[in-house]
Amino acid sequence: MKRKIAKISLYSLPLTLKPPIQGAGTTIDISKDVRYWLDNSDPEFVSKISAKRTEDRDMETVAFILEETKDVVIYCSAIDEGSALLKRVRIVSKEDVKNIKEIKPSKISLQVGVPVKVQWRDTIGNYKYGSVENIIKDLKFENLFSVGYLISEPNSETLLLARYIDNYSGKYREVSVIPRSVVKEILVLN
Amino acid sequence: MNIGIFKLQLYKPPFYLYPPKNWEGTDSVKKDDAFEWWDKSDQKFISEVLEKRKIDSDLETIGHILDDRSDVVIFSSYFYVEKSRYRLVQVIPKIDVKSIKEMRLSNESAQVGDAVCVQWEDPIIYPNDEGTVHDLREKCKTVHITRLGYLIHKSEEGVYTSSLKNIKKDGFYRETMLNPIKSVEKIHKLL
Repeated sequence: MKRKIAKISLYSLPLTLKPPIQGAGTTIDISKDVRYWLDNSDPEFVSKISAKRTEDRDMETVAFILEETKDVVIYCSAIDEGSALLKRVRIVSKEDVKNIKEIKPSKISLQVGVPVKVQWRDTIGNYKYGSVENIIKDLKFENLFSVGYLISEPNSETLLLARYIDNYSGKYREVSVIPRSVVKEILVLN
Repeated sequence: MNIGIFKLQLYKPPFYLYPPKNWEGTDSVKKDDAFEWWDKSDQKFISEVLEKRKIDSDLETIGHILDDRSDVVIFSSYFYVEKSRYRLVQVIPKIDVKSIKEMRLSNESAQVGDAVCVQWEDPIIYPNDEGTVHDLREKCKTVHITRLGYLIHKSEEGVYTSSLKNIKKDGFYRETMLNPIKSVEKIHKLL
């Protein structure tokens, strides 16, 4: 499933949207509508989303857009297209969004600061009991994609992807560190 | 750091031990704090762990023993090298442990079925760090993890290890991990 990728300009940082199931972490099964998670969230959490912001930041993020309503934007920065799981899901009030601009793979050369989409392989596990044959059949690598701003040198042994940039200070935040050895493809987005 | 490696033969499967309520910190633990996780666990969980076994499941696992001062053995097969912390911590009553035997790393080539220690370079997220490109490059590094278990398969793409083996039923395993082959740095056979 292809998801829209966008550059989102924000006045404030988003909140983490968690499934309304204790212990489910921040990974969401996209076979369920993400609106379900919001509609079943704790009322206190919902009121925090729409609370008036106390600061005016100039932040920007690159993300997969999951849901956009008249009130909120729900997005995530990593997605597994194989098992249909979303990772690091965030929600922000429309009041705190300056603008959203769709970006797509381009032929711009890889350089520090550009938004990128990275396909890579993570270590995975399962707890199932079975024969070696069945375990191997069941356990396959995820088709994992992450988006962010490249902040490592393009040819570095380790890939650093930052989720946010603060345009006032020029500082980045929320960094994923991925060994180059497990990266399959890097696409520059524009 | 010298961390012992042990083969544990068990009558029943161990339980995962999670941080107690209000525990400040992550889901990994330092060796000296492991007992506190158990000691502060809720009574329902403690009763479940200590429940008398009904059958002999005849299992075997490999782990670092974190604590055995009380009526349980707390162990882990998953170690963060740089942080000296353990994840996926497990607990088993002493009465459900048949035997414990110390093992050692060897330089012999590991074959499918062997007990092994696999080390790999792992991705990580630094969720709260903010800084310039220079600051973040200095601070944000990958981590190295070792995992103890049985090598059950190796392909051009990945290394499969399981940490719980059924002795009675040969070739049946549980708790499996698949590492991308290119991230694996070492596979030591354990003797």
